[in-house]
Amino acid sequence: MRRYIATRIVTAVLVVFAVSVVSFLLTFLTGDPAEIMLPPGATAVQIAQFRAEWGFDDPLTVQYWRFLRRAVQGDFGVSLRHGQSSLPLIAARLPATLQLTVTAMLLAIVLAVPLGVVAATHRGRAMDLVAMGVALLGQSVPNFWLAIMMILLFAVSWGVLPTSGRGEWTHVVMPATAIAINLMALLTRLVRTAVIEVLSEDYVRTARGKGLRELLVVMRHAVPNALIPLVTVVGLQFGYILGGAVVIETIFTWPGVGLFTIQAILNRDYPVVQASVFILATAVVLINLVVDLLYVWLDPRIRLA
Amino acid sequence: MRALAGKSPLVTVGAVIVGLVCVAALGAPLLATSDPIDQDLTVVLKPPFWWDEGSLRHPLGTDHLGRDVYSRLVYGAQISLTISVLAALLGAMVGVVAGLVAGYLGGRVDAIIMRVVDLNLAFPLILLALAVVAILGPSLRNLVIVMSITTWMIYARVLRGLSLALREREFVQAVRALGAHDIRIVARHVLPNVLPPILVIWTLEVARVILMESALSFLGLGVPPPTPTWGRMLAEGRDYLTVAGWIAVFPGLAILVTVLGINLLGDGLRDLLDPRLRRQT
Amino acid sequence: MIRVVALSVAVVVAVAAGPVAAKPQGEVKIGLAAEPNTFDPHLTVGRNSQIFIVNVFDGLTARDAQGNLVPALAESWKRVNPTTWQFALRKGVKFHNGDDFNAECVKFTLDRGINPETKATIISELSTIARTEIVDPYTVNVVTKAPDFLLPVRLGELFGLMLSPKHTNAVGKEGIATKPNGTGPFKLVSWAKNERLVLEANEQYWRGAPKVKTIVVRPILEDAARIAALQAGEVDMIAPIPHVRIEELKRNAKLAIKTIPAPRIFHVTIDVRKPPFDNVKVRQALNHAVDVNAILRSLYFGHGTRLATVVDKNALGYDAGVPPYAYDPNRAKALLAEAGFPNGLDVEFDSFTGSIADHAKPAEAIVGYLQKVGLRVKQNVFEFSAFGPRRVSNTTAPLFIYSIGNSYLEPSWVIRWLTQGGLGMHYKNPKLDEMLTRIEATDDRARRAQLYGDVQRLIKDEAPFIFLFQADAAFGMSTRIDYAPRPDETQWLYPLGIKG
Repeated sequence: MRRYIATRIVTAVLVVFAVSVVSFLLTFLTGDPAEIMLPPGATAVQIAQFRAEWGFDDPLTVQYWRFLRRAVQGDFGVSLRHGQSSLPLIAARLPATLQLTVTAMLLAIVLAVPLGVVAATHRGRAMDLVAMGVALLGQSVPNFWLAIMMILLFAVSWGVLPTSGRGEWTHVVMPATAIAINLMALLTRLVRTAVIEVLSEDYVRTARGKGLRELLVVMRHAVPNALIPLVTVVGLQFGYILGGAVVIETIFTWPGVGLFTIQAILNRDYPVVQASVFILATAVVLINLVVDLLYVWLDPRIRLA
Repeated sequence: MRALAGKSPLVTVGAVIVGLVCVAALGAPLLATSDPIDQDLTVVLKPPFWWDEGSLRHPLGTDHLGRDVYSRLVYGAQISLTISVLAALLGAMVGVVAGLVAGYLGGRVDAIIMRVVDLNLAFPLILLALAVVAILGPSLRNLVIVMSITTWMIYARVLRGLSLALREREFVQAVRALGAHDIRIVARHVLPNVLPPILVIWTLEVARVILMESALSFLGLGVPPPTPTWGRMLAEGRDYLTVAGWIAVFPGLAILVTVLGINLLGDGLRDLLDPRLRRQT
Repeated sequence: MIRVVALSVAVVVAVAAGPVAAKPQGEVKIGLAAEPNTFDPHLTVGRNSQIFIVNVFDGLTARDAQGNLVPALAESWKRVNPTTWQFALRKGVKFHNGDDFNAECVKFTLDRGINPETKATIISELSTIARTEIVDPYTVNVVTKAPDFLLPVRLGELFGLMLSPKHTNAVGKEGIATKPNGTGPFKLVSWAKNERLVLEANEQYWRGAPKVKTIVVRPILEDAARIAALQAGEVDMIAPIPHVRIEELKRNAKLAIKTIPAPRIFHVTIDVRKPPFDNVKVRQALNHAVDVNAILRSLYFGHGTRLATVVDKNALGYDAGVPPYAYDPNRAKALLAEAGFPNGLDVEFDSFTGSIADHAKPAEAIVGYLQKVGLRVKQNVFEFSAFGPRRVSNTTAPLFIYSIGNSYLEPSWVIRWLTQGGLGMHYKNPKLDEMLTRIEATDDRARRAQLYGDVQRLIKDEAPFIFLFQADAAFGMSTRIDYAPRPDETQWLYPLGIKG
């Protein structure tokens, strides 16, 4: 077991390292930022000078080595665009993104558990159809589309929620919903399946046979059992959620890491891109690691491969 | 199909939707009433025919360049469906091979492949899409490549698990003892056993890729114009939501309904083919 | 004139001290599509930054509401010899932190701008400067490498924002990005990127205190959300507004929508090096093929101006007597046939997304028109940052859409840039260069304006571009505030007021 954990941690570090190599390579291949950093009046000589000053004319290997030497010390360089160290710039935006994604996850769980339980306990009946219909709709709607629709409806037509930005709790409602909707769909189906499975187990049937109330059986036996796969999936979905947050943060101008990163990518602000990819990859890998370890801990039958 | 339909009315609905979309896609040249890329700036932003200023010449109205929304929608079905199916197929091929190899060979190969999966999962899609477009240029083909890169991991994960289990099964052990070649064992005995789950995942992935195409188009990384795809139409219509909502509403509905249909069908397939898979997808 | 300005300042100060003191008051919230990247004037990226940070700083010169060059930190200026401009500085001006403004500040700022260690992004706009000499505490000579008639414009709000040496050295390079210390009408109080930026009135401003006490700027990237924020009263003013929404918003009685022709000149660059585009007939055919007026009507809803060449309507010397190419597809086909292409030709066309203005939509319409006269066009859409390197390395398609902002409001700068014979702009003409050199040596504005007429006729006949249009910029505001957008795009908030 200890050996397994050690191996997993080592490979996790290797994955983060590999992500940084690949992202470095890809950003390098998307072209250097000279043309967008300089005004149109810049001459060919001035563009070349800019490249030289920032080291963009060095061979790829030299640039990568320079990047790596600093990165291991936690220094991803100064943002080309903002003139400030990139890691603190990203770190300052983490709370906003965490607030958004955690709210979205909680929202998804809070909606999915009752929906899934209702569907399972009414299997094959109208309520099941309705609950699954809701879940399927959630899985089928493009979330940026939903986001814009919500702005038009809740902010413009009815004026009950703020249009964008971050501030009071009302600001997080629409972006969190837009992110939560797809996850909610996935989780609802998961809960339904899990509850159905548990309900057909012998001990639950016994409990039912003893005349325990249906709701109690579900709450005491079925839901806790359904929560294990639920947490696993939420963990594994974290990467996708962060990815989805990019689009949603852009639409709502939510001042998080996703928005900052896409701006950096579009502006070829390499140091910020590197720092951000590093932080996001670490977060995803870390959560996957924790989920995997949890899994082993919860279910020792799982092959330690 | 009938066995499927018998199971649930929802599956029938799904099958009908998918069938209709396929008909639209295949019959686009016959169904379209105008050239989907022919612009006419004298008739921009005309509403659908049931509005006062609408006409049957453009049954679902026109877009900002005076192009026929209905015809673009029909051709859009063709292109959106083609690229989604292709991307999901390409992703499935890569993922299945990777998963089988990882599960069947195990050991170091397995470890490497699964770490590549982790890497891919932890990597921002947008950076990937930008890089592919920057290196290979913007085109339909390259969009398919980008999207397939985001979908192979799930097959790899599921297939690895399944082939791990199959490897230990008696019949596989038996043919192996008889001296059968590994590739032969995989092709003959392992693959047929894992086809049903692949099919189920693939169906659901097609749905996801359709949504992804619209998200990439929204970010300006989709198919180059004037080619109509639903994602592109939706992204273009975004600017006109309050003055000419139909430009975005119809492709939005098309995406919603199609993805819904495919998901319904996928669910049905899953129930029919492999109830055990419910947990994994 | 200059005395009058000084006098009126004195009056304002006197009034401010009296009982009817017009102290800045109230708060105005603004929603913008973009925020500045930094408050370090030498490291700004893009017009969006430059047009905003002027609120915290001052240049040696400034523009008035009509776009005329007026005194600012310099009370007057003159060319003492072909390569030397002398600026007489305003006395008694203080930076936000109390530092005095004087000749030393000018020398420090300009030296910093051209110092390679600064890695100034705007170096191309300052590299004309050879050195700055202090004549006396309130007089400086700026010596240029070659005669530069645009220097007083450069050293205005565009690229001549003045820094305090003491503060700049104290906070360091990273510090100045978020802790600017200027002489401008507003102080930067706080700034959380992508979230909000707060400005507060500088009550000691030398022009007199601004009317509004606090200005909160929120970046709202999504057009729909920005407009919604204005409609819902979350913000009092927004910019920009997409053209398609202007009419609808104008019907809202609680809002005032103001449009102004932005000095951004759209054109399709033609690679004149590559056959068949070396043939002027083909280039003229392309110009006849595109119905620019229809594009303005349907995509810009009439909020734009057809341009006959690459000189915008408010620029010095715009000649209304040069008519644009008429939309005439038959003439286009005939010209193509004359040039040897009766059956059309194959060509690629590049456009891009994600720049300061929408280029992809007009590009799509233009391509549609080109196809109607027999061109078989393959259209490529890049993301702007991916397109830049292609332009600079001269590897674009033979046709690509582009736009250039005439921020100097002087055609010579734009035309020089567009006809430089490199960096994607392939046309070069010694005769044209000679005409421009003559213009640039002419200090008399009226005479210069006259000379631009021939330039426009020559460019039109040569047709190195498909000439397009300039679009209006639209500002939306609540009727409770009073603001007039400026013709050079600068978001100058000093005159902003609250009604009632």
